[in-house]
Amino acid sequence: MKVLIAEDSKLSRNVLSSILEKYEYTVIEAADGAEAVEKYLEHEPDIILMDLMMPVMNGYTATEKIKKLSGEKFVPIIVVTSIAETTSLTKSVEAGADDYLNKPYNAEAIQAKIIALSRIKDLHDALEENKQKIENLNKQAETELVVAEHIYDYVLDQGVDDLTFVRRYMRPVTNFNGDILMSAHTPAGGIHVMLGDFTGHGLSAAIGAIPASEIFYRMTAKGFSIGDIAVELNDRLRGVLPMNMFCAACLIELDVERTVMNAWNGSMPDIIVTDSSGNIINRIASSHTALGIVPSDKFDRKVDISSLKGDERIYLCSDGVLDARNKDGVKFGMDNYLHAFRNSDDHRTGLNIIIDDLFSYAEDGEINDDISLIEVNVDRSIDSWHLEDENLKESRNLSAEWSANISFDADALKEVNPVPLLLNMVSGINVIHGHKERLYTVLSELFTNSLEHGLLGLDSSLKSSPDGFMEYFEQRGLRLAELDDALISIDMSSAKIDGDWFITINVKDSGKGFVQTKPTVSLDKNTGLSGRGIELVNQVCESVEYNEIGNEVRVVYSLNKKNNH
Amino acid sequence: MGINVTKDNNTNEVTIVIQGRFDFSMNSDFRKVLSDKDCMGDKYMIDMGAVEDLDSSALGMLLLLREKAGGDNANIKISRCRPDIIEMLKMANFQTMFDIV
Repeated sequence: MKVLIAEDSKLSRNVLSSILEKYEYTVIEAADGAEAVEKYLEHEPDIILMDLMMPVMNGYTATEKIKKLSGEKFVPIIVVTSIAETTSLTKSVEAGADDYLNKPYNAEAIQAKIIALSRIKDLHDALEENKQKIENLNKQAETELVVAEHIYDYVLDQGVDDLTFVRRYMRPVTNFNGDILMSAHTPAGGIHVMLGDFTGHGLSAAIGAIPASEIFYRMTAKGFSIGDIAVELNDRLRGVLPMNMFCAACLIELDVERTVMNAWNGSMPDIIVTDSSGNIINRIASSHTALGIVPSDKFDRKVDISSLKGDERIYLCSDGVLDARNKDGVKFGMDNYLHAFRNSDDHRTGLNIIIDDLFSYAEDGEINDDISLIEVNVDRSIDSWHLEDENLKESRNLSAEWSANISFDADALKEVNPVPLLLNMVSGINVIHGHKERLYTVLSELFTNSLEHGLLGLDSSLKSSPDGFMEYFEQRGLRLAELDDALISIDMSSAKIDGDWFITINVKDSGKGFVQTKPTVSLDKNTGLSGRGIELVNQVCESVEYNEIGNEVRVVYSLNKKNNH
Repeated sequence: MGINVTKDNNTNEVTIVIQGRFDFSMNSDFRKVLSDKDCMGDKYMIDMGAVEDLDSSALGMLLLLREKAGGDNANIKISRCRPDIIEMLKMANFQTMFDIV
C-alpha cells in the first residue's frame, strides 16, 4: 500500500516515514501542497497524510484539488493537526478530508487510522464496482430491450393490414408488451384475429413472437383454419420456448359472410360477444391449455362454433385487465368487466367503457401486467374485403393451355383440409392477383356446395335459425365421419377462344345431386345466415351450369374481362 | 411467505407448502427446490391453502415441476386452493395435467 505524506517540515516527514516504513507501507513524500497534488497524480497513492500549514499551496487547497481529481474513486485523506489547531478541523473536513490526526505523531494511532480508513476504502471500492456492474448490466438490458422491441415491432407490423374494425387498447407494463395482436383476411375473405399473452416480457416474449407471427400470417394467407394454426403454433412454441414459458391465446375466425364465428380459447379470459346494444349474447371460456405446453398428440384443436347475425361486437382481453387492483388490493375481475358492456352503445362501445372503468378503478391501486383489450366490430367488418376491381388489369397472356385435376375420396375429405390444396391450385396460375382471389372464391364455394349439399345432404335453410345453425354444424361433423365411398373431383383448365383466355372449372361429386336454389335477396342486403356464396360465383363467372341431376357444375371464368360485375 | 418443502422418506412423498403471492418473486426459490435432490420424490402434494394470488410465472413453475417429476407420468396433487385460485388453474386448463383436490 502506498501512502503519500504532505508535510513541509523535513524532520516531521522523516518521523512519519520511519513509522510508516516500519509497518511496511511504501512512502511518497511531498514538501508542500502543490507537490502533493503532483505526486498524487504521478503515484496514485492509496491514502494521504496531509499537513495543513504548508508553503506554496496549503493543505486545504491541496485536499480540495485531490478530491476533485480522484472523482468517483475514494482516496482517504487524513489531515494532520496540532491540538491548538482544532478550529481548522471543520474547515478541512469541508475541503474533503476524511479524518484527522493530532501531532505529535503516535505510531499506534497512525496505524489504527490507516487500517480503519482502508477498510472504508475497500467497502467503497466494492460498492463502486457493484455500481459499475449494475450500470453495465442496465445498459446491456436496455440495449437488448431496444433490440427486442425492434424485432417485436417489425414482426408485428408485417401483417397488420388496416383492419379498422379491429380496435385495440394495448398498454405494456415494461417498455413493450408481452401481448401480441395479429389480424388478417383469409384468402376467401374471412377474418382471423389472434390475441396472445406470453409469459414474461421483453426479450422472452419477442422470442416467441417471431415464429408466432410468421406462422399466423403465412398459414392464414395459405387458407389454413385457426385450428390448423393453433396446432402449428403450439408445436413451434413448445420447441422454441423453455418449459415454464408459454403463450396464452385466443384465436377467432369469421367467415366471409360474417355468419359464423369459430373460436379457440387457450387460457385467456372469456371471449365476450355482445349485440349492438351491449347485451352479452355469448361467452366463450377457456377450454384449452396455453400454446407451447402440451405435445402435439395431446393438443386439442377443437374450436367453438357459433352463429353471428352481423351486428355483434367481439371482445378479447388479456388477464392484465381482470387483474388490475384498486387501492384495497381487490382485483377488477370478471364482474366489473361484464358490467361495463351494459352501458355500451354505438357511440361508446365496450372498449371505451372498460378502459375508462378500469383506470378509474385502479387509480390509486396497481396495474402490474400488460393490458390488452380488443374489440372486433362485426358490422363494420362486413365490407372489409372486396374482390378489388382495380387489381384486375389486363392479364398477362398465358403461354399455353393446360389442365389439372384434384380428387378427394371419403378418407381425404375427412382428414385433409382442402382449402390450402385448392388455393395451391389457383396460386400456380400465371395471372395477376385479383383474378386469383376470384378463382379461389369460386373454387371453394363450389367445393363446399358439393361436399355439404351433394355428399352430406345438408340443407342450407337449416342455417337460418340459430338452433338450426348449430344443428347444421353438428350434422356436418356426424355425416362427414360416417361418409363412405364418396368422391369429389375438380378439373380446371385454361383455353384460348377467339384470342381471349378462359378458365373452366368443373366440380363433380358422387352424390345423388342437389337442387341449386337461387338466393332470394341481393348480395348487398344479405346479412342472413347463408346464401351469399353462389351469388358471388354467378357474378364473377361468365357462365354457371349444373348438369341435370345436379351433381356436377361447370363454370367459365374470363381472364380478359376487367370488370365482371 | 415463501416455499416450505418436507419429505416423507417412508412414502417418498414430497409436500410443498406455498404461501403468499405465488409469482415471479418465488422463481429462484422454486428453482432451488427443483434442483435439490432431497426435494424430489415419487409423489407430490402442493399445498396452496395460503396462496393469495397466482401469475403466469407460477403456472410456469408448476409446469417445470411436472416435467421434473416425469411429465405425463408425474403424480402431483394441488390441494386446498381458494375458489379464485382454482378458477385460474382451470382457465389455464391445468386440471388436465394436475390433480386438483
